[in-house]
Amino acid sequence: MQGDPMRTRLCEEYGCEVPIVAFAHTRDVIVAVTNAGGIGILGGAGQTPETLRANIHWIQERVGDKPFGVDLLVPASFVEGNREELEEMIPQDYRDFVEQLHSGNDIPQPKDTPESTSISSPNLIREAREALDIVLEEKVPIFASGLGSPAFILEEAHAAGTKVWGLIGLPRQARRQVEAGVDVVIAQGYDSGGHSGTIGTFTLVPEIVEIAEGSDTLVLAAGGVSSGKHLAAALAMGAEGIWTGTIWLATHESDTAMFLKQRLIDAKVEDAVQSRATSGKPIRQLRSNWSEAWKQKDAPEPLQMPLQGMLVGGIQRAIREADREDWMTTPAGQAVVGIHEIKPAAQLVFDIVEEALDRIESLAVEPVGGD
Amino acid sequence: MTGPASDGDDGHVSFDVSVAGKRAEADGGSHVPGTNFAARQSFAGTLTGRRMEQGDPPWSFLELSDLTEKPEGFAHQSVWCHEGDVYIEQA
Repeated sequence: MQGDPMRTRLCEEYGCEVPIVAFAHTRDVIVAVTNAGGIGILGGAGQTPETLRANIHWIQERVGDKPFGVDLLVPASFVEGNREELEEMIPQDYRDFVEQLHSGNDIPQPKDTPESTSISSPNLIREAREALDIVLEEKVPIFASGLGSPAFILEEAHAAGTKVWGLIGLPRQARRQVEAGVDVVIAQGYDSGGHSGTIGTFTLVPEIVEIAEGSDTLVLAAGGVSSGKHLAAALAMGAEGIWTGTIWLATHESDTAMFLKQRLIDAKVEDAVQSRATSGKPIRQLRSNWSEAWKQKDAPEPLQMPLQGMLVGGIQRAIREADREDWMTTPAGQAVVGIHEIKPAAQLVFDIVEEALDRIESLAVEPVGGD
Repeated sequence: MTGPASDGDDGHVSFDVSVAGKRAEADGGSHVPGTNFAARQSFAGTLTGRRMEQGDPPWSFLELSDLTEKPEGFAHQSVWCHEGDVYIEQA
């Protein structure tokens, strides 16, 4: 085998040492992964502008000129109507069901009103714009877009020295982003945590690689990725690296609660369930009393976005306020099966690389079939 | 290109005859407020011609109605989609 298989185009173009991208909401994970030779991408959605800017500065001070990024959720669509109009669309029997969850499970009513009532389109868009402005002002090397096509910001981002990445779940989305010149397309399969598409990673990635062939757009494989075996497979499928999320939740640096880290370690693949109970859209997450409650025979079908989120926002806050661990969850993909212990993030990077190199080497010296 | 306009809390709305009545697909979705979750949503339908612009420089959203593709159980008659995510069918 010629050359270093870990030195992919991602490494050449971004200056990372290994083709491992870590998405996490904890800034300490971002710093640890980036300083270990990978690329950390901070989940910036939901952070106040002040917090986001402070986190970017904190990371910059610790990684120097090594590559890192920020992932934001720019609204790609919204429905018309103010909060009151939308509230009226929630049927009473759904409100009754939520009240039963409170009373039947000793979940108190929420103490506080939410800090942000950003259900309205102007607020969501204003917040996204402000966050994106901060990313470009601070010259963050990478902006990753979790929703829609980031093509609209390409010119402005490139002028600021920021590369633009887009997450996709369908070939048509990839085709449009490649044609627009997006720098990296992340092919995120059904196995992934959070909102995942309908196509499995092993099917999606090769198709997206074919779509990007001949273009300047790089492809990363995402969804169910937790080990060096997956990295080796991703490279074999033509991806330039892997995008990972779930596995970082159980690292030392992650601010995930300890009880959730333990549940991640204990989880089987079937414990990474898809549920519409939180937002109205299928979100893969760790099984909990919350996801199970909405699967009971007497439970109504969850409403659609944004109504379901409005319906359950209060009880979700109450669960957090009351520290009801049995009702709490975290987004998690099928990669939970690869979590066996709590490790430092840098160790995880090294372990993935070592295992990938072993797999690639064994393939090189052990030809299968024929002579 | 644009017709009468109105300003409101939700932004500047105008009418764009160049897209009105055209069939289009859109890759939508949004952040779920109060969570770290997001959700992608796919739509197809007919552009009404209404265009909403927000902020400076403006981000444009187009109204898609008569939806032939939408998330299961989607209860709304129309949806506003970021112009960059709207793909008009070629005649």
